[in-house]
Amino acid sequence: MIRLNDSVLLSRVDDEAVLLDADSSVYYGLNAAGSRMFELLAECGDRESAIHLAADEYDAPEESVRNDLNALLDTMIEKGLVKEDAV
Amino acid sequence: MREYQAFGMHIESEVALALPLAPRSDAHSLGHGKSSGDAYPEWRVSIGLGSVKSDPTLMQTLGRIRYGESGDDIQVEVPWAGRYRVRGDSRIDVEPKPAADEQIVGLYITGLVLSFLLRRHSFLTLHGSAVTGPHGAFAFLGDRGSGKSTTAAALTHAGYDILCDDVIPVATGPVVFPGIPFPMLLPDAYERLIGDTALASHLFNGIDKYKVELAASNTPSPLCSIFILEPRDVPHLEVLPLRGGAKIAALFPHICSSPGIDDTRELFARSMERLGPIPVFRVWRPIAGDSLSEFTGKIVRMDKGECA
Repeated sequence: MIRLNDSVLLSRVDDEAVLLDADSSVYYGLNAAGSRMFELLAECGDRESAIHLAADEYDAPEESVRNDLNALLDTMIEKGLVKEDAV
Repeated sequence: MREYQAFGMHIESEVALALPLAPRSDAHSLGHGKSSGDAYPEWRVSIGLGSVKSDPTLMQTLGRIRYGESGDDIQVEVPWAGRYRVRGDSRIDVEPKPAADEQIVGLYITGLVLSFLLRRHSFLTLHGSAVTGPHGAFAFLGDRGSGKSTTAAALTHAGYDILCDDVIPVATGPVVFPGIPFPMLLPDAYERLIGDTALASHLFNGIDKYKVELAASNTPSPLCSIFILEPRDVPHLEVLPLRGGAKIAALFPHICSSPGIDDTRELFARSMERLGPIPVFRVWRPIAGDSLSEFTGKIVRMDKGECA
C-alpha cells in the first residue's frame, strides 16, 4: 500500500503535483509525467499495477516505465514524502 | 478616536496609525471598479489603550520582540514600544511603554499586529507591493532592495494606482485588498520618480527610505499576475514564467507566516487556492544599468494583451 506521510500535503498547480512536507516546510514539485505516475501509484496502491497502467497510457515498454516509476517512488520514500506498507 | 480604512477594515483607533483615513460616509470611491463596501461585508476593528499583562509563556521571537498565542488571544511584546493583544478578529488592546513615541507604538500595529489579525480573518498575506489597473492587480515580490516599491511607484506614471506596500492581503478570488498605500523609496528611486530629496526631509523614515503618497486605490482588485524580482548579473531584463512546483517554491519565501501561530496546513491550502491559478514570473533585472522603464513598459503591454 502506498500513501502519503501524515506530514505531507498535496495539491495540483498547472498540471503538476506540489507536495509540502509540513514538518520541514520544504516544497517538492513533480512534473506532469511524475504527477501522473504518482496518481497511478496512489490509485493502484502497488507498484506493479501502476507500472502496467502507465505502460498502457504512455505506450512505453514496461521495463522502461518500471525503472522510472521505481526511481520516482524510491526518491519520494527517501525524502520522507510517502510510505510503502507491506500488503 | 481616529478612523482609518485599510486591509478591508474600518479601523477605529486610539493610537495614531500611518494608514489612510476612512472616507466620510457620504464620500464615493475614486478607485477602479467597485468600492469595497459594495462587494465585501464591512469589517470593523477597534484599537484601544488599556492594560495588557505581560505573558512570560510567549514562545516565538523576532529579535527582541516576543509573540505567541496567549489563551484564545495573540500577544505581541515589543520592549521599546509596548504590549499588544489581539482578541478575536476585531479588537486590539495596546499598552504603550511609558514615554514610548506614539509613532513607534503605531508602527508595530501596522507592520506586525494587523498581519496577525488579517490571517485570523482568512487572508493570505504576501510581503511585497501591489498596484491596480483597469484589468486587475499586479503584485511585486522580492528581497529587500529588489525594486518592489520602486516598480509600483513607477507604474503610477503609467496610470496605475498603488494598492499596498509591504504587506499584500489576498482574499479568496483571489482578490488583493488595499493595504498601506505609501511606497517607501530609496533616495535614488525617490530622485528619479518624485524629485529632490533635499526637499523631502519630512518624508524620510530616519533610516534609509522616503515614504511617498502617490495615486492610490481603496478598492479590492482581482489578482492578475505576480512578479518575483531578482537583481542579477545578467546583460538584459528577463521575464520568465514559472509553473507548478517551481512557481510555488519561488512564492513560498514571500508568503508571510508566523511559526507557532499559523497552521501550516491551512496556509498551504490558502496558498494553493489563491496563488496556484495565478501567472507568476521570475524577473531577472540587470544589476548594472537601468531596466525600470523597460520592465514597467513590459507590464503595461502584458496588461493590455494577456490580462484583459
